[in-house]
Amino acid sequence: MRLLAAKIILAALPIVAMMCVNYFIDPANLFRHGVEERMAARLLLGQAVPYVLNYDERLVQQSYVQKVRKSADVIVFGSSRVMQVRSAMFPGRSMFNHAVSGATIEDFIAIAGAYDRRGLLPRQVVFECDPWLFNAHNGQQRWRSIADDVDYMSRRLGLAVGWAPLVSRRTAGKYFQAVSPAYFQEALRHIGATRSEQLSERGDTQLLLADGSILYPTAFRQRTPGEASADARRALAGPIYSLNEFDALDPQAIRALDALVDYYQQAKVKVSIVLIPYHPIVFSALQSQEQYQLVSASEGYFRELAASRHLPLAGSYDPVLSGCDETDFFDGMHPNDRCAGRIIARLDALGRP
Amino acid sequence: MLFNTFEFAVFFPVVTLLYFAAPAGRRWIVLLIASAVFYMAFIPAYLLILLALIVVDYTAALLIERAKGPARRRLLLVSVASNIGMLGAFKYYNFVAMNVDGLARVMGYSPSSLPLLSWVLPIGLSFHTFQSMAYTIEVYRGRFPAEHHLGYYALYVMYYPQLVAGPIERPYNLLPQLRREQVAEPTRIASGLKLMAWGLFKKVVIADRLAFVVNAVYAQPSSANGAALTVATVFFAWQIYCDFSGYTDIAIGAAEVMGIDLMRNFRRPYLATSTRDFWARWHVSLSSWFRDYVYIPFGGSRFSRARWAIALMTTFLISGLWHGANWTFVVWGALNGAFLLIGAITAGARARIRDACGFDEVQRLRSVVQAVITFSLISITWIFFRAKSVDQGWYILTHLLSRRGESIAALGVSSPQLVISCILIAGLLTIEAFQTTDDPREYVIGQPAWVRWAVYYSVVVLTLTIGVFNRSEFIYFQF
Repeated sequence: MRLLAAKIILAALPIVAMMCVNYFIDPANLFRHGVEERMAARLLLGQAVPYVLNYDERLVQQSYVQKVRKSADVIVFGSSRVMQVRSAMFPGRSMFNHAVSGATIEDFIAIAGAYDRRGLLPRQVVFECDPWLFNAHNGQQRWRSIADDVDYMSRRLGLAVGWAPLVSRRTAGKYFQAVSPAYFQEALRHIGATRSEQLSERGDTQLLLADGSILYPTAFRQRTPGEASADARRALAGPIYSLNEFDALDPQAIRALDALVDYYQQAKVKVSIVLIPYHPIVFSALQSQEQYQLVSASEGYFRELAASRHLPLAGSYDPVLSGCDETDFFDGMHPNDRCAGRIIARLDALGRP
Repeated sequence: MLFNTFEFAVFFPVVTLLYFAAPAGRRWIVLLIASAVFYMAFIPAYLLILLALIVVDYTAALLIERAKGPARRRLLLVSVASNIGMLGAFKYYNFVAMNVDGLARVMGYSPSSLPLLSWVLPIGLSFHTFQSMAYTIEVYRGRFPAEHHLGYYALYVMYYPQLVAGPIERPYNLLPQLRREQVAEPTRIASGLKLMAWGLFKKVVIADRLAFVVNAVYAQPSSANGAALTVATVFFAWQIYCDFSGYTDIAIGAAEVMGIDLMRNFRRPYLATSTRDFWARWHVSLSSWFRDYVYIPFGGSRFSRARWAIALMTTFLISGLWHGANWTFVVWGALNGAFLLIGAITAGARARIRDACGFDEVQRLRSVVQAVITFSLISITWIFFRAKSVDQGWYILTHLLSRRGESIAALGVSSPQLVISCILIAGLLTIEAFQTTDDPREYVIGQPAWVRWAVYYSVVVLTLTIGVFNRSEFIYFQF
């Protein structure tokens, strides 16, 4: 019996060790509270925030809007593909970039809702519209962490409500992470890393800047076109991000975007649209593969919307039409500051009388 | 529910504890409910299909047992037709409809416009229908009595460790074991757990890591140079082996914990010295099913050489179609059949050449050379198994030596990924080459405790640190 007990303890040892590492190293701050609030507070003080692994970007945005005194002149909605848009690209105006990874129409609604609750309005909103915005099968669920704002604003916009109530993904999921080998591997990578503050001084870590944009680590920013192309090819190995099973433009998402544009136009807020290009290799696959044909249909829809509502629109999913080439990308989906700057400059030019 | 998930890590011990805690006569209920829960984790409604087939086959077997003369054959046909019909509807209907349509166009007729179905293939359908057919055929042949207890029969079909991807069991092996009172024996439990750990290692450490390389190249084969295509092809051979044999090891290990021995499905197939030898080692439960219920009834090798060749090719073509409703699988089956056929036809000539060279005297070298040749031939067949279309498969096959195109690094595969993958393949090959049986657990049997525990910890630590935990499905789940 004693031998059996000893064997059970020995067998359980690696699992217990893994759980301890997951809990105490906690690379994604799952077992520590208030990370997002502290990040938002730093942004409000005008400070950059060094990279924190796997924080909930949506909660940072929500917390920021809840505490900000007045809205920036220009606010940007969009995904990680627009995170290189910085305040310097809007001379003479203040700007805050609310981009969150894998943004969907629900994220736009939620952030607009958070402002609406505070009675704040910007002078201009820029919607960065990704093709997966209208893909009902985009697989994005991250907006659920700010579902209360989605629900609130959906009612304000007269959209169908009844979004699934907020079940904190972090709360539900974090206990599973304690026994997750994937989280354990992340923790091991984290152990060897120097403190992120020290890294940021050398430009070795990602920074969330005070204007909401992201500054990638130096090594990532200085990637060669060859490295970016290799990454682009890697992206083609599976379904392209959030464009899986893209069968038809989602009418519900179209209605939601329409309603949001109406809301801002009625409030005399200038609305503009930007389309961010894909890397030439990825764009070529999007064009040639039948399963991604709706990407061009999405762009067509955004152009029609812009024309019918008199909204300035700049950029395209096509890098050539956006004036960007393979030297302007970090990877298959994310253009660099140069490319983003060109598109914003064109948008500004369109907006001038 | 996938074996490589947290859900299964909770499900399995809970079910095992409930199984042993239940009174012996009621354990089948625990296992049946657990199997239903396991199956419903995929698409719950499809449990109804499974249950319908269980009722049909159970009833058919009882009636076959009682019937005399031609009625027995008719009842068997009803059972077989039900299973094949279900397979046909879910798996092959769209394939047939599209090909009829294509053929009509080619022949200048207007398209047949047969509607396409958007049904999702029920998981494991090909496996449990074959297992059910094995049962009714064995009852028909009088080799096994019909099971009168519906619960035990349902459990024979639904037993969760092997429900969705085999091994495809035979009634005479599994049913008596399900009825037998099993005792919670520590040695047996430990042995089963070891096999499960080894299976998980093969799946998440080797197969899923190789998948990075294979997917990167097969996503854009026309951009890849010959070296990249060759590496991806060799890696896929190992990926599918580790994926499927890993699944099987977990299934066999899980059953062993509960006191049930499932049949071995893999016997170190890449050490095979001929394609015939390979098929005696690869997916044994399926190849023996085809041997017993297709190849031999077609005549096997009992008649003329021509009839034997037809029986062999027919068996492999059906085997190809069993894997998937796509011409790529038909080509895969045809190639395997052709290699076996050519192997048998040229056996005499090759033996004479070996004699003349004195090659037979260097036994070990001969085995290595034969294994390398066999592996190469089998890898060629895997190209069509993995390719999206016959055209793509042909392109890869004809460009394996091409210098044009991008290197594997330019396709997004990093050097560390490549090196780790090669080390893992070499490690597994070494382990299998030095085994004296087909059971990897032989390495730890009889070793001092510190050696055994060092091995266990190595497997666990490697799984936890370099395993890929992205809930990837097992390749054979799609069949």
